[in-house]
Amino acid sequence: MTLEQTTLVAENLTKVIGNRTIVDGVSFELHPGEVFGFLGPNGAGKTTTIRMLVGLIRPTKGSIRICGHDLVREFEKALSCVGCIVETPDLYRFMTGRENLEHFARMLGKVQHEEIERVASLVALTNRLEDKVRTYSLGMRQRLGIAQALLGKPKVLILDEPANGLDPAGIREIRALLRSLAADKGMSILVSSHLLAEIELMCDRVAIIHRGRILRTGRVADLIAANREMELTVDRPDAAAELVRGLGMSPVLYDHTLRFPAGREETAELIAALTAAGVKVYRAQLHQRTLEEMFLEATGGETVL
Amino acid sequence: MTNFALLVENETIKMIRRRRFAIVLAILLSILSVIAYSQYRQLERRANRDWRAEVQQQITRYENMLRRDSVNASWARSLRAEKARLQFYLDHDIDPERPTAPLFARTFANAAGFLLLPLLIAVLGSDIVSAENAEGTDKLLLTRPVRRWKILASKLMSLYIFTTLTLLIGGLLAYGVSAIVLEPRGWEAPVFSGFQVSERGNLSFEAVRQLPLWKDALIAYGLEWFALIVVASISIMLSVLFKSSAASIGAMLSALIGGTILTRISPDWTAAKYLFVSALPLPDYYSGQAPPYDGMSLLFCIALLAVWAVGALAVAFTVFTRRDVFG
Repeated sequence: MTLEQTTLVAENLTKVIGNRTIVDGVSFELHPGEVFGFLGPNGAGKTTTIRMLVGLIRPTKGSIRICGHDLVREFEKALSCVGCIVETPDLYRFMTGRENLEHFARMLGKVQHEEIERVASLVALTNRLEDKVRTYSLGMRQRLGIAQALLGKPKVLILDEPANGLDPAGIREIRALLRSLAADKGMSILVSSHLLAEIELMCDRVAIIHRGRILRTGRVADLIAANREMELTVDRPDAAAELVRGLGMSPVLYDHTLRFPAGREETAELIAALTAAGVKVYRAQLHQRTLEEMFLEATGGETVL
Repeated sequence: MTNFALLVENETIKMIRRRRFAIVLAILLSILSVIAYSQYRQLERRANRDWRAEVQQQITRYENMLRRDSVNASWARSLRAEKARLQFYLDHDIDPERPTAPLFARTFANAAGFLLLPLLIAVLGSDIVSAENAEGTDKLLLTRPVRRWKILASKLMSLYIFTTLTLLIGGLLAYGVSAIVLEPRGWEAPVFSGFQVSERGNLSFEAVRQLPLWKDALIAYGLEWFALIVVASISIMLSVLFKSSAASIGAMLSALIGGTILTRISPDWTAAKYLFVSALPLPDYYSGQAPPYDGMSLLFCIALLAVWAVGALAVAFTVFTRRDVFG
């Protein structure tokens, strides 16, 4: 992992305001071509962390390097690799979509009209570009915000709650867009959300953040595989447990039910072996713990929303 | 890396699109129209009047007022100065109030420079930063690869441009609107300025200069421009310090009006001469009106205003570049 290329490295980020520690020693890194999820309840420190990543808030401690540039010392170089939406996609409501894109393009150096057409068509906003932003729905503003973030072809895209305000079809489109930006353009995308299903569908890796700390970081696929369990209801649980242990697994027993981590193939073999040994299998079910269950376990059962 | 002219272009577009400048121009036009019309009516009535008798009457009125005990020291000082000024015009057989369009445009610098123009600049400037906070667009503006000081500098530059335009268009409107109803010629008319009040309250004529009106107007507009640049600098600081546009415009308005009241209510508290509002009516002081406190020469006022502007900008840039931007 350390040999892999990184686009953004956050090290030991800490923000203390007064005597409250809002973000406490957060470290993570982004790699090219991956979608990284920031998962946590409201008030966990997601937005404060994101605000530090894009230079809105000065960290009390810690450092941020983006594309090899230190955010404090090489602010302009570091941020020219980043496109972002922080919290709500607030754009100038008294200007049209195109004028907004031109405004932010000017801040990058110059206005290139093909570039504006390109980002507008990526988020399917071309036919509303001449309308004032105040006439836009929240979903359209969200898409205009993403278009703005894509100006200048950044290597890192940071989106705070990108699914907010979008209808299910819109969410699917944005998810597909982000996946393709990561896969085809090799962008690193950091997405924050308090919606677990969203992260599960969109992200390659996830950091679970709670009370300003990262509780765990890992691949979404690994987390899911590690949380797959077999549940068997049998007539003779002791004999069945013996067999399961023989296959190198340690089952938990509840009455006539055994529970143990297992994949599909192992389960099929086990059922055949049980039947051959004369143990009756009444019910067999593969149980997948959702990210939500893992999250609740990790955060001590506090409400997610 | 980033082009500063493009940043100024952005700020200029936003200023126009927020309709701030349109509002300012509309206010200027409507106020000037009313005043020009009133001047026209005055002219009609003056046609068959004896201005010498009127000036003499005014002088007598000042003398009567001065005899009363209730007149406080600083008011008495300006009354005496005004009286002597009128006497001077009378002695030289010049009607001080014959309204012409050039004279009207010249007077605009004094009359509007006192409160109207600073208020309009406050309207332009006070939300140039705080509107971005209120609308949430600061999060985008400050996460672009542009250093914060450059962003504030571009806002300041744009504000200075619009301040200059406001004064320029105000002057042109004053001339244009009044030229419809008043005599449009008269830029060459002589103007006397530089009346000084000596320590004993007498008017000293030593420094009096006679200038053609156009030259005098240029000087007055130049001084007013400087005063307005100072107002713009202070209002951008307020805009940085206050989160809401209403609060920053309100703070500016109360400073302007409060400072004016202060000089009237407690003229003996001379420390108030260090307030920027005391020094703000530069064209008035240039034309010979006595400043409210002792020791306020024109040069002192200019220096004081410069110090205020530099201080305000120092605060604005320090706070703007250092602060954390929360939601």
